[in-house]
Amino acid sequence: MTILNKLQPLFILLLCAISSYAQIEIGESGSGEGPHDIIINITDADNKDALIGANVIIKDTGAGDVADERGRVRLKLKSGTHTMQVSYIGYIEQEVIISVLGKGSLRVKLQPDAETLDEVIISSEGADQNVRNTDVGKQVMSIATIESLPPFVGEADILKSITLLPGVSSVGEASAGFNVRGSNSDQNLILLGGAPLYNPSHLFGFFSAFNTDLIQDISIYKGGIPANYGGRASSIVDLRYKRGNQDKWGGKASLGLVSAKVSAGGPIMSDKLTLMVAARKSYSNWILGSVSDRQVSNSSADFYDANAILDYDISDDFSVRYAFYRSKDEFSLASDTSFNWANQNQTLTLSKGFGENLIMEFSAVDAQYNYSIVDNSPFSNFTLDSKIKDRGLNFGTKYTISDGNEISVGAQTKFITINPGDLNKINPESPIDPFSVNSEKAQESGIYFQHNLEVGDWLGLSYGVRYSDFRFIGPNSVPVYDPLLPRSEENILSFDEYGDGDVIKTFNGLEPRASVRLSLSKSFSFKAGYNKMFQYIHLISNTTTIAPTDTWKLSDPYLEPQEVSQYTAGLFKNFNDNLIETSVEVFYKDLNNILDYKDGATLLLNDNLESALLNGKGRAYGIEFYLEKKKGDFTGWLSYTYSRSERKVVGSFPEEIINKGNWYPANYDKPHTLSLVGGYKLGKRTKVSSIFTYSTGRPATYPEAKFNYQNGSNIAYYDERNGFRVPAYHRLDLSLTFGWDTANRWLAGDWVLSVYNLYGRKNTFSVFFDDVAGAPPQAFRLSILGIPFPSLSYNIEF
Amino acid sequence: MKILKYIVCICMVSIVCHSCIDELEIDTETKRNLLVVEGGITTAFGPHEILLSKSAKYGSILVDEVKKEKNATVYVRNQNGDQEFLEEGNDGSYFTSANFAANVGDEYSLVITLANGERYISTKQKILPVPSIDSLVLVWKKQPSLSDIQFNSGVEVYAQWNDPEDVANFYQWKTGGVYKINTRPDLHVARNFFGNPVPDPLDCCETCFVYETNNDLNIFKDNLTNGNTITEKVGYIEDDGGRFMEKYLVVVQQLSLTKEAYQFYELLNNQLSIQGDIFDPPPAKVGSNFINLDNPDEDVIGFFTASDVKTDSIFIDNDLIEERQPVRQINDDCRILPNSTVNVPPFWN
Repeated sequence: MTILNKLQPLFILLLCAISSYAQIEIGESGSGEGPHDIIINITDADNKDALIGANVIIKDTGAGDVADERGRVRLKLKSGTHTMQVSYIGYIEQEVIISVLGKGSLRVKLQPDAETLDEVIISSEGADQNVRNTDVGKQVMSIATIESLPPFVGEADILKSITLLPGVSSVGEASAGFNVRGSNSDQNLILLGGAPLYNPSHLFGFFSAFNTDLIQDISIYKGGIPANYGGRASSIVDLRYKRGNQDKWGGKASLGLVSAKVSAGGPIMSDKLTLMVAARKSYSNWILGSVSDRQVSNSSADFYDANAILDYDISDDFSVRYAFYRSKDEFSLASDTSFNWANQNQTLTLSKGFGENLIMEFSAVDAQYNYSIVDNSPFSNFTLDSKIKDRGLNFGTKYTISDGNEISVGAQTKFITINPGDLNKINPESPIDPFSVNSEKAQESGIYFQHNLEVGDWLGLSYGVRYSDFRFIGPNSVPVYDPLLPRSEENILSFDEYGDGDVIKTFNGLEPRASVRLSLSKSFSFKAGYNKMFQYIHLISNTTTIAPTDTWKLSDPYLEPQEVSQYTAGLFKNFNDNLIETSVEVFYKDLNNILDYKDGATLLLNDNLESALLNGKGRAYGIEFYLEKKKGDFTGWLSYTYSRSERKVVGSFPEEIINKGNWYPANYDKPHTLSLVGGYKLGKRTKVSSIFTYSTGRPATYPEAKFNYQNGSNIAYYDERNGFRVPAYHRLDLSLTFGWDTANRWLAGDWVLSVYNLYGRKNTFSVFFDDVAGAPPQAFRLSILGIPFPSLSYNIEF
Repeated sequence: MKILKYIVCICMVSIVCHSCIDELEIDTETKRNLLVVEGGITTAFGPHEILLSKSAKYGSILVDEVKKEKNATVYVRNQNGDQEFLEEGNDGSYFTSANFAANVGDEYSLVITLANGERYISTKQKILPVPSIDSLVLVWKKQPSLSDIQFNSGVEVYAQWNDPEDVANFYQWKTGGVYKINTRPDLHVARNFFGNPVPDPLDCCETCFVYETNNDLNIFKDNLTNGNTITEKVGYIEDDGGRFMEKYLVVVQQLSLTKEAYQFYELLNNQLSIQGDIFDPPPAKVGSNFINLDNPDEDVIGFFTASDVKTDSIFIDNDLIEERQPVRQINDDCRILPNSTVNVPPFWN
């Protein structure tokens, strides 16, 4: 601290001098040759936000690092003069000449680059990081990128943007989940500020459930997943919160047609304590209510989300963060039935540095997801409530041995409680019989080790292992099935009763992870990776979206954990000084213990869900092409994926075999997926951008004949599961962003005019077959937003 | 601002309304012409009916029509090789003789040879004993309604029986009924040449007895209530203003099902309950207990059942009806009603 105090005048000097390339002295002379510890704080010059992920390179030695959660880089430098290059996506790069005398720190303020803000679209933390780092299957998207895409109803949307990346797809409009490399949507771990998010969407997937204004960036791991992540089998989406502005208060506001949002942040105690708050609320209800059509006026679509993030720097290397998040949805469509869901997450994180090379982090996480179906019809009214509680403690340390040589170890444990369904009547006359499905409890723990090593410029290694342990614990009553008969309710012999805290079943296993990079030249590298993951929680659903009709289920004596092994390899090549970025990646996945349902299964309110489920194998494979132009008046990318995702279910009994034991496509198997994203700058503040996406229609089970039964009723005959495909999905969106240069900050905002589904393609959301007695059986298609959908929003910063 | 609100309204309306539903052409005919078998035998005297038809291309009647399977040879065979040949009726129906009754504990198969020579046989169905109904309980029920004047009402019929403890039992109920109805043939109206109504009183007939059967699929398994005295709703007779003029005889057949038959009906019930909403059960393949002897891989639809049956009946007096529905006045000969007769049934008084 003393050094910092002494350096204060220097800081002021620094701030004035930094852009003029003056030589800056750091430390006190006479501290010896070194190396000395130098801390570089990198912030936005305008709003003083810490620039997490900014890049620092010392030109003469090649040493460098990426800024941490607080926008800081620690380097060891010998005494002498060094040229330091500081860069960050969307900011003007700076070169600072520093003269190191001893231990010390400095602050670098980067100017936002109005010219390039929209131009650098996707970047893995540096222009050439895609080629130079050892991550395979990882992609980082900045909020600037997401905000430059055509928005839907005036809202930049993180999850929708993710689906434009290679290897990521969604089943269509209004689908909350997304599918990464042929995996189910429950196999994505979505971490919002470190806490898991069970339902990441508002309005059944029309909007992401979190406010983009508070998000620093998102990292998507499709493969080569580091060992500190676990619990879900396919991918990690890590959304990192911003840090509050340390110098002054500021914020953003946005007014759209359906919702408005506002965020603000600033210091409470100068540099020590900062706060960020944000809120978003839909106001579609009053609009719906004012429509004369009764169908519309009786509908309601209401949601909000709110965040608060408090950062406290106890000392220079010891900080505490508390983050709160809540989202709520209420949706009913011209009927008495409403669907509600709410996420609530809280995280408390303590992070402490010991010396210059060791950082420890401890966090406590509380995540809750409640969802319910409320039927308010006059008579047979009911509520069906479900709840998940996920509470955990995480401890992690990172030790930097030398530049490009880091070791991380840590331990994590959490308790999960699921109440799968409580059915109750609303008024006493309702004929519904109250019913409650057994609740479930488990403890899931993991310890990990991860080593990242750069061997010169040409070779990078990253390997680690995670050991995970899962205990299914009481109280519970577990059915015992006749071992010689298929697992069905009729064949339950008895129930085993377990008391509170009894361990009913334990699963554990090693999850090795590894990736390697071989640089063939400065702009060309080959990477390969392997990872194995276990998943102990399962989304049981017969729909393809995350919805309140789903059931979440823990592994138990009858449901073994899902196990996924992924092999991936890719070539990464940049052209024209990183102006053009290209890559080709291939992957193969082996899935074990994946779940499918039996014919005629009841999934909702089923106390013995295992009797409705089948255990199977899966495989997914594919090739992903990516081409991006990152700078210039025209920017954008093209991504094409060919992939397949298939399942095979062969049980011991005829009713436990699907499609005669052959491989069949998974619900979200979409072989061809193409995304074209482009932005063109028309003027200083005027820009058009567009998205085109095409994908093969997803598989569906179609009736293959009709027959008469039960007094001549026409009944559909289904044979092959997922034997057909709905029509292909394609869509074009267009948006225009413009603003006026004016001194009045309230008028200086950006207008965003956009049209979703420009040519009004009626994409198929679902296909269903109606066998109403007395009417001919007929196939119907439900399309959501089958017309061009315009929207307008206005965004300001203050 | 007004314009903005207008735009907003359009947008919201399009979100809600343009979740549009339209017909989708699907072209699937891979499973046309599968044999469909429906029916079974019981321990009661015949004739027992078996229906044979072929599956058709999915879609409306204009797309394809379900064809009845005629000129087949059909017989029932028990484990001793005794055969009962079925006689062909109309439209692909086949009947056992009136004095055929199956026995509890025996195993029966249905053997079918179609007109084209294809041969099918069902798996053996063992007749499991079914407990008799101890009593039938009647409850008048007024269904909830938004209106005080118009409401739906009727009589719920509950069966009560002792479920045997040592075995898993699967039940099916079939209900039927007879009621007396009075019509007004004297007020009959005919149409003249110009289509105008003119009085045309008829001489006959004023009082009829109407026979009806309920075709709802009603099945039950005892796994949650094994070994208890069970009371289960087996039927609902809606008051249509005609049924409870005097009294109503309800007849309940309690049948035993094999587990396989129960599972088949459960799947069938699933298919019948699909309505196109998000609570729909996923589509499922309805199975069969038949195989084609010459081509075991061929899919067949439908189940041959063999059941023990116990029957009970009870009269519903109209004083049970707390609020009568308005009388359904039919100004015609009562014999125009389906399944009606002027002959007084022997059990009526």
